[in-house]
Amino acid sequence: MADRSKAQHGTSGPASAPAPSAAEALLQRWLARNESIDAVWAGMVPGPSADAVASRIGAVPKTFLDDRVRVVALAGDVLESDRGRGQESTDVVTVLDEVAATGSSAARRGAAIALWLWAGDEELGPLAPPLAREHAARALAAMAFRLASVVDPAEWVSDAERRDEAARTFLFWSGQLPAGEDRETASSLLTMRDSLQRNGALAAAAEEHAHRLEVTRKLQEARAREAAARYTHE
Amino acid sequence: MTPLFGSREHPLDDRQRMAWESAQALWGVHLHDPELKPGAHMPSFAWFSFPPQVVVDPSEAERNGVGAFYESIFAHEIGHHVLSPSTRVTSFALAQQMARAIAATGRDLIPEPDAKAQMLSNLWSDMLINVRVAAMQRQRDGMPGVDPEMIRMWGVLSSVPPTGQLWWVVLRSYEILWSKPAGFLCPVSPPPRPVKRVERAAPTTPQAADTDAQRAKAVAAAAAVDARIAAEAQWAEFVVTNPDVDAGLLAETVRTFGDDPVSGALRFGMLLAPYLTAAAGSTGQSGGAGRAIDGGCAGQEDGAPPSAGELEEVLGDPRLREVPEHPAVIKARGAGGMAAPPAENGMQPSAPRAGADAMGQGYGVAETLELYSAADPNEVIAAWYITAAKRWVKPLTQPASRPNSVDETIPGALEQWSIDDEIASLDWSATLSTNPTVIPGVTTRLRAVLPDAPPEQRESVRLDIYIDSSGSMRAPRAGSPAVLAGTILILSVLRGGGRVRVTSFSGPGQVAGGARFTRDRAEALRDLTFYFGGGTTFPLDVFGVRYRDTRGDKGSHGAVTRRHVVVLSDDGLRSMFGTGQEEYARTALEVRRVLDSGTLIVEDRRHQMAEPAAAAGYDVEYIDTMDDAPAACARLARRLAEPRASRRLTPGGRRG
Repeated sequence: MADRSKAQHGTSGPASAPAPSAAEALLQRWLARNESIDAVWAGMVPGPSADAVASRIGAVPKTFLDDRVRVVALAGDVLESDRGRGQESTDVVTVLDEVAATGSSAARRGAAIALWLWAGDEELGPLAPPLAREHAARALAAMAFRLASVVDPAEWVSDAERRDEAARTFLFWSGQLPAGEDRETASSLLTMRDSLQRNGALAAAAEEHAHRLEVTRKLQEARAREAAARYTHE
Repeated sequence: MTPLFGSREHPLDDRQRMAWESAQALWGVHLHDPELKPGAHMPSFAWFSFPPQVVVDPSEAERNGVGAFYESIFAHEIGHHVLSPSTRVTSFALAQQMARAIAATGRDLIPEPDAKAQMLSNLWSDMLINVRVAAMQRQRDGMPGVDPEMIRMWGVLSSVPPTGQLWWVVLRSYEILWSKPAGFLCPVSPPPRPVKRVERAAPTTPQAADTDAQRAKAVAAAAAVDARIAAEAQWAEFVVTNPDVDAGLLAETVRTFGDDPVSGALRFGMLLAPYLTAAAGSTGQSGGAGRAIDGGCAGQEDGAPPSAGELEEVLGDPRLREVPEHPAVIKARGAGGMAAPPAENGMQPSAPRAGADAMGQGYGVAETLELYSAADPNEVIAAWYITAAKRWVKPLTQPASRPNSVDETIPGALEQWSIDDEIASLDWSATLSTNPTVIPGVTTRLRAVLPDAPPEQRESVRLDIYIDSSGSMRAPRAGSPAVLAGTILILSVLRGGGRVRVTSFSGPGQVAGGARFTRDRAEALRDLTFYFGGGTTFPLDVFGVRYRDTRGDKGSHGAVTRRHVVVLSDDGLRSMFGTGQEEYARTALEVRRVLDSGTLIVEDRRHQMAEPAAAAGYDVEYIDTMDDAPAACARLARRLAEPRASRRLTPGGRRG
């Protein structure tokens, strides 16, 4: 199943998400990749716990979030050992070039936080099991285009729930199952946190409530007309 | 009766004692022992009451399979005394918020709305407490991979799948709050919404009419009735519930308002009230035969009704004025998708009893009376009008009867005394301290004298209020603009240190109220809200007698007291000018001559009072709706407080 089917609704975020047009542009970049969720599940390998990854997100250095830092250069430092891994390295550079091309601060910081998760192995010691790098380009795109389009990366750091969402999103698109969770649990918790899906459902619910208000208004008018007709009749 | 100290009949065993101590340590409080009441036949195995008391039925706890979770049971009940509701006033405020949410959703659509408000109130407190206790247990125990005891207890309590959507939403939001996968506490999908068969009403038959014009009007009226019935049916059927979305919003509400139960209660109520409507089906009990009530806590045990002071505090809480809106709408607006709410009416169509919300509380006096049916109705009505009037009340005083002293002066700066000045103005001490050798015009000094303008003397107001309580006036229980206006005046006068006398009148011989002026607010409001509901005959006999002999009408220090009269009525007030009681036709005119001000505040759309009132020298303020009452009172207060300068100094100077 392609991720596109879940992303047809609006992108109004729960809090300080990027401006709608910019968010839409980021999301379109993600949808253009046409990533397959089923393929990700099929290739899942064990990964560290979501809590451990979330904790690392919370420890991101300020320098990574600085808009002046070029993510392509940053990736060169962080993923230096991956050089020579051919296609994946090329894909990473492609994604990060796209990030730079968008000019979006949210996308840039989203990618930088993803890079920090790998960089943290050197700074803080590797997680157990270590974070995978086989699908680095996909994970970077998910963080920079998919998640950053609906939740500002600043919230990944400041809000516990959004941090958990970022950790799970990263693990999933890296092709890793959170430690201590089976596929059903991981899928359920990721869905529960998924702001993109939730925003779509919220937009639909808000439309229904708007319709309810309209029905209410019509009832008020009907009551007023009835009162007026009765008064005239008397 | 709840004992003040723990039950001696059923003391805590060692395991319960340890759990009790541990639960207290969790909250950082010390309470007296809980009471154990085996076989209490309450709806659940634990409940609480005020003054702070925790009660547990151990046999019922065992029967529900939670006998191993005493720490969480005790911690939950302690939470009711620490976090929510924590005080009686908060518990009333929570119920009031839920009642407002129910009113905004559609009070007529929800069976037993007041009982449902209490139920929602307890459910909201339960959620706040359970989430807090689980968080504190997790923080204390810090064992990765092991759920806190509270969560494990809920695994047991939720073993029977919910049959209603409301309870599914609650359990799902617990899963979200506790980061548990779907299916941990409730099925992955919500129970289906029951399909209700709606019977369409038969078309309305037009009334019989004699002429074609009347017949056409009757047909139009019948069509309008049918249109209203159809709109009501559509409104009743189209109740918005989205269990999945609502569970997420509920979790967010619990997280956001964890420390402010009263503010969050309105959103909680707006989220769950739609599930209580007849269209949405059952209330969502877990459905297991013989199991504890949903939530595991029976809530507050038969609390006493609120006192007058508590009512005033609850109704005066500004958080109870927030516009009721569904959190989905609030979020959509935050994202720029929806317009701001129109007014304080929320989503509730204006009820036939108009004006309830317009008074600013978002909840009418009639509904408030129903909600507090156990309390003294007079106290509820008084508290309601006091809180509705409060934002308009300012201390009302008037310029003092005695003129200000104009010859008072104060000493100013030292100046040189010259030989042209009065010798008496020479300030010898200042002169000699300047130089012992006195040289006139050189070393001589005088003290300048400055005129002193003392602050304007003001005095309190004595106001005589007559309120029409005939059947044509809206009853105080239905939200009366006249009563609101009267309340604003009474509170303003009393706050300015004055006195009031209130007389309620209706048909001949129907007169109520005290004969003397009073500073007793309760007495004045009791008289103001007295309602006869009969015809309209202004008590000119009483009016005339009261102002026939005004020689003894003295204020303090023997000063003449200003006399102000306000009459609150409608177009039936023509009787004040002799209609129907011709023998008193000149009474109003004669009384006006001894009054300083006479004002009629009337609900009179056609302004029929203008002519007779002007002839007798009375001012008239017209009010059509609740919203007009404060403005009318403000104008009157301004007139009393700042009479025109030409007439301000002499008491009785403005007398007819």
